[in-house]
Amino acid sequence: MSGLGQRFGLWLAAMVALALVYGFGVHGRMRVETDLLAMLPQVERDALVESAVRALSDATGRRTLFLAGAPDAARARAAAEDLAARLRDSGAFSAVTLRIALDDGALDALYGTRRAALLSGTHRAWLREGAAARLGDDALRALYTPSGWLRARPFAEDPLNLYGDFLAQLLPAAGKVHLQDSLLVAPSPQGPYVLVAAETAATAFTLAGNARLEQVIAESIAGTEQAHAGAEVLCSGVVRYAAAAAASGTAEIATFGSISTAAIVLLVLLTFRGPRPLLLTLTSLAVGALAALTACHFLFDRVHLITLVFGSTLTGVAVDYSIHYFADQFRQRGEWDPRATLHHVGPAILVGMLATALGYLALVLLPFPGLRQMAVFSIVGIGAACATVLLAYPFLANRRAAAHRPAALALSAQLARIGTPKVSSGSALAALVAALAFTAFGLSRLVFVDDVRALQSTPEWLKAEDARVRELLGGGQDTRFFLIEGPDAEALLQAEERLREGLDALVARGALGGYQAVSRALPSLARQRENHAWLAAQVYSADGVLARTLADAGYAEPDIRARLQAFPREAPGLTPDEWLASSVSAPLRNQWLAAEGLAHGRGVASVVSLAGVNDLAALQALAQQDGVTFVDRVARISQVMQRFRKLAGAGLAAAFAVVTGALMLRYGAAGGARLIVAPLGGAMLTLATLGAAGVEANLFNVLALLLVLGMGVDYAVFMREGRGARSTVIMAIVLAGLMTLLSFGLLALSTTPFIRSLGLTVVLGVTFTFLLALLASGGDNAALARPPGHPR
Amino acid sequence: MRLLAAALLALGPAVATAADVFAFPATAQTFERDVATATRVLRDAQVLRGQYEQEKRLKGVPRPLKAEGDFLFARGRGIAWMTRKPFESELVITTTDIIQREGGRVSMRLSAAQQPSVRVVADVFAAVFALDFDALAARFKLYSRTVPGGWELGLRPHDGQGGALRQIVVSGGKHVQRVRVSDTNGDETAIRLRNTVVANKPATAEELKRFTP
Repeated sequence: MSGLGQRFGLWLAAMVALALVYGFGVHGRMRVETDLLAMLPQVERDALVESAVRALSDATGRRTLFLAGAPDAARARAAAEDLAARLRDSGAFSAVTLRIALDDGALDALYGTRRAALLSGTHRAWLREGAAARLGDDALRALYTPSGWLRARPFAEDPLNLYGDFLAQLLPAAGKVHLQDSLLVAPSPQGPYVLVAAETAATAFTLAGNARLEQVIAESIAGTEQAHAGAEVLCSGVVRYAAAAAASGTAEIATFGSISTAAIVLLVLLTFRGPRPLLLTLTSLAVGALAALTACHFLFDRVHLITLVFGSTLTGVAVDYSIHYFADQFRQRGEWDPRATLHHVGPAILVGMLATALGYLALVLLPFPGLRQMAVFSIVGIGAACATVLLAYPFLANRRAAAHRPAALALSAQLARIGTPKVSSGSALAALVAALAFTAFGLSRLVFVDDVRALQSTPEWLKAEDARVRELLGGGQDTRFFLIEGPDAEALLQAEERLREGLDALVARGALGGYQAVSRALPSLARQRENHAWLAAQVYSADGVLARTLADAGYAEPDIRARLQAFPREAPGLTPDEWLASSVSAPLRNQWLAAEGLAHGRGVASVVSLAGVNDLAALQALAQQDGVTFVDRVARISQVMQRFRKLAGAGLAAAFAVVTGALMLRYGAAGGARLIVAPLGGAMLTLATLGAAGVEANLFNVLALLLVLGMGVDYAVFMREGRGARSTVIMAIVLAGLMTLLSFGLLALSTTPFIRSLGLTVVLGVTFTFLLALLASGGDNAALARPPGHPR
Repeated sequence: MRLLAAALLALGPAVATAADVFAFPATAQTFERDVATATRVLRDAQVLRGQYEQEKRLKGVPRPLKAEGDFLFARGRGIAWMTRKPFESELVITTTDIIQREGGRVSMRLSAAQQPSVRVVADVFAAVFALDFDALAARFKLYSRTVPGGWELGLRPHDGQGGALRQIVVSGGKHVQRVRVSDTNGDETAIRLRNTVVANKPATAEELKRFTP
């Protein structure tokens, strides 16, 4: 018996260590990820594309947009100023932008000194066609008509508006928003909305941080709307999605966790009576949860919220071992010795746990961060709970007689009879044919939808407000973009310029709303030299368009000569370093991926972002050019989901083959085949039910079947191994199955679609598998009559 | 005596500036009072038609650049500005677009969404024609006073927002008669509106056609 004491001592020491590590290392430090996309496997085959996606989504993830609207401009402005002040005072944002200061000083320092090599796209086209005279016509119109007021610079400084037009094309395509008194204003029939942009220092990681940010946003909006009659504030930002996900996730964890726990308390009290089984059961569950959280905290940079939601129902699986252990007391009448029980059910519990863990292990092997976390959480959780049962229960459980026959046992006795075949072989055949027909019908109707929507769950109000903001702003940046690569900055910019010729053509015919590209603000040196050469030949030559225009305007000959002579002979090159060093480059800097490219040993890269995509095929056709990739993240995610679904399907088939082989080795060909009937039939019937019910299936249904296989084999093996005490075994399985059904049934209520898929599939799968296991094992009852020692 | 001379010298600029409109900051009340003769007429005006003469003086250019033509202001639609001399060119300014036509053909079209300056020009033109205090006050510091036979308005951009524009002086009686625009670099543009006819009936279909490209 000292062995028991030693084992208990080992367990106790482990518990103390776990408590210390959790208390000091995990509690309050855990970083929680709420972005669903972070759960996905590396979607892009290409690491550079992946880091480009990350750079862009990090930038948008930190930004929250507000629109403060009112019936008239003055009140909208006042509301926006108030809102900006509230957001600033909250201290929750690193930057709050209301007024857009166009810094003429910085523009002139960067571009003004190099204007001899800069041209807008329009003017380049004119000079390429030799139509420089149009510059002169435009200049005269500016002198004699109000069109002159549209120019950025006065006539004397920029007679042909060459510099002014270059500056004008730098302004981003702003949709419906326009600059008014340094404010960005979006008009609407209800009155103007003023834009306020707020940026957080980093993406929020902790649940508390998310909740606080959402609270600041809600309070600032409510305060502004109260202080300004008739004002309305709209808000859009990734941060709100994170906060909504966190709120629903936290609510689900609390609900699922407490329902599971309440059910366990009820079940253990009703079945096993007395405080000690209850306390021990809860201890094993708590140990499992703490160990799982601790392991995830140390293994993963951030623990995903979905992992926690999934984990909150783990109790339903982990409680199985306690149930099997305590159920043993009903095996025979008389006093129950918990120490001896270890010999009776210990191996079965261990084998069962390992079988389930193997099922989860399959998920660990997939390069799918979200599933890997769930699997690690589950394996560690059930492992720790199982260890508690095996190491601590024999020492702590009380020795006593089972004084009652639990209702569950009576029920199980009834169930045990189901398997004993009283039905005629004719009706059994009919049932089999019906089941096969149903399976065939359901499977033929089964539809797989590998859509990214399977991942997303967003409250309707948030979607509606987002749509409002997008409508007011006149669209927004598309999720699709071009990635350009080159061995060095010059080659990259030239490649971008080639691509932009195609893009400009698409914009001209309405196939594309607009785009943002670095090379528009930073032309390649080759292009700068070309610009300079054209300007020298057609504009600044002695008989060029500038001299003629100035003469027409009445300038004196010496004045004109001086201006022509001031044109530099060499192109004053603008280099990427100079551009990056200027504050002017700030809006485009996150599209310049020099560092990312070099980090992947690939030279430099840049992103051309798109707005208003109307012709996808035409855009994709532009990616034929070398070094240009069209990145469609949403489509890629769906492709990856499909790839993984097929992979998981093949994996499932392989797992069935391996398990069947293992069962045949142990129980013989016929016995093994009989045992696999339940899990295999359960899986088929589950898919058929989904198909017949018109539920679209996806990757997560297939993955859930892997779990069903693990549990189904468990049931079959327990029934086979426990033939000697069929009703007790069935009771334990019934109770364990009920808990599994309850916990996964709760998952089927989750707001997250793919958690729902997992839950629904496991509920169906476990039910079918259990019933089939019961039916399939029935024939074995004959074996009860056989003498012990009969070969299996 | 020297003290008096110093005092006079110190007062000098103040006396000099008192002579122009920019010594009289306007509030909504003083603005309405000063330009009442015009706003009474303009309140019900749907359409203003008339001719204009423009004279631009570029710094460093001795000869002024002269242009003339006619204009049409249609409330809620915009302004059509038809240059007849020295060449024919039409510029139509609506709330959302600026359209330029040469010989009846659209030669340029800019939308406010592409170019913020389109909206500035459209807003200022419309506000000056309609003498809309709120719209003007949104973009300018305002000054106003009455002068013999009419009134005078001063417009200066809010700090750091005018770009090349220094100030605008608008004057008139029953409606706007003169606009003088001064740029920071010394360029001056003077526009005189003549034979303005105010109509309380909407613009004709023929006229409205000019506001669509």
